[in-house]
Amino acid sequence: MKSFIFDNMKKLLSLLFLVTFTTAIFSCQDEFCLDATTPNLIIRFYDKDTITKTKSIKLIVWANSKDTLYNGVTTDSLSIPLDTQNNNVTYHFSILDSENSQEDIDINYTIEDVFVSKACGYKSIFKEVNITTTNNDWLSTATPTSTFNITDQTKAHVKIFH
Amino acid sequence: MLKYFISCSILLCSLVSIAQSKKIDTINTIKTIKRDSVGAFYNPKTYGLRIGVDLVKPALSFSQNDFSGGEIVADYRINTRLFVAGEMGYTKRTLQEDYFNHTANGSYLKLGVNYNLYTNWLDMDNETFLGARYGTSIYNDNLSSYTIAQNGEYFPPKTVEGQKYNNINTHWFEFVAGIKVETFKNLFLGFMVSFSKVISTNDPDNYKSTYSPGIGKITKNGSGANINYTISYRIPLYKK
Repeated sequence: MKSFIFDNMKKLLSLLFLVTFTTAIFSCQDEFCLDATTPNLIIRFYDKDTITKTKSIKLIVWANSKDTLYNGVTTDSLSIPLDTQNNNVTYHFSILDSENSQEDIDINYTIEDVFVSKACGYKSIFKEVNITTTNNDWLSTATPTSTFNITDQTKAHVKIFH
Repeated sequence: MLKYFISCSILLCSLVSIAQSKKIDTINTIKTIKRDSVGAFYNPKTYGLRIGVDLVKPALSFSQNDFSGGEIVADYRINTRLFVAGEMGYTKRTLQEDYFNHTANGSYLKLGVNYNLYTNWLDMDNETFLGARYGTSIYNDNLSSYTIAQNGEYFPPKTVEGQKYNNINTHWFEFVAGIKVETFKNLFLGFMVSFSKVISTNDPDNYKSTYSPGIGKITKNGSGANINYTISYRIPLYKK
């Protein structure tokens, strides 16, 4: 056995190097969760008189009785997360520095879990989503009025006219 | 005069026969040298079934709680350099990924060939081999729990109990490289690395198999790597 090793030292060392190198490369399986996961609800704000034109608004946003999610953001589109442990959530919007301007949006849905990958595991998608909005102050109407699905975040799901 | 002639011819005949037998001897030696395909020395190789066990899996089973497994290896010589080889075993492994936990439990079989690159002198029988395998496995994957992946923590993510997925089949191709050294008569110590690539797997709905017995952890593009240390014994049948 000793003579085997000595006679083939070069061959064995290069084989060992190749083996260790390739095994190291393969063992380094650092997979991160880079795929799209649970989508948020995307809301876009439009002018109620010129319905094709977007219109920014300065809002404080919070859900149910939780802390504020956005505290005075001026924007024409919002990305808000939905509750994966329940089948509904109520978001409240009120205009910054404006008393009694609270409007609510009631969102009902069913949840389906979809496998993504080893790194991400499962994500939730929302089906049969139904929204109802209040009409107290600035909020005029909201679409869609029929049920829809939220499967990704690529475009706005809800339009609010004010 | 006749006596002289007869004696001479007898002497001549014997000389011719001596020359003939020398020629036959030379021809036999040349044949012996040509018969051996790997060198100038006639070194017959033992043909027989070689059976052994992997030492890595039992060691890991003992030292790690989330792993248990075993493997039997075998090979059989076809000619001086070529062997038919195979491995068979079982694995049970519990894995904790970032967002889910699961336990894979099943068995596998790999069959293929090894080609010896090493030139053995005299009656040494060592190997430095390259080879290939076709592997299949059948296993159950019990998804114990998963947590939903989402953006942000405004709402806490939900954790759900998963389900058991049975009879998952994976087929793969493997490229192997290793060495085998004869330490005592007919007793071999071996070391082998293998690189696998999944050919097909019958993933259940809404789940993807990320660990297969026989491959180990499967990466996103369906590859895996393994090593084994083996001790095996050859049951000798004949020498050629």
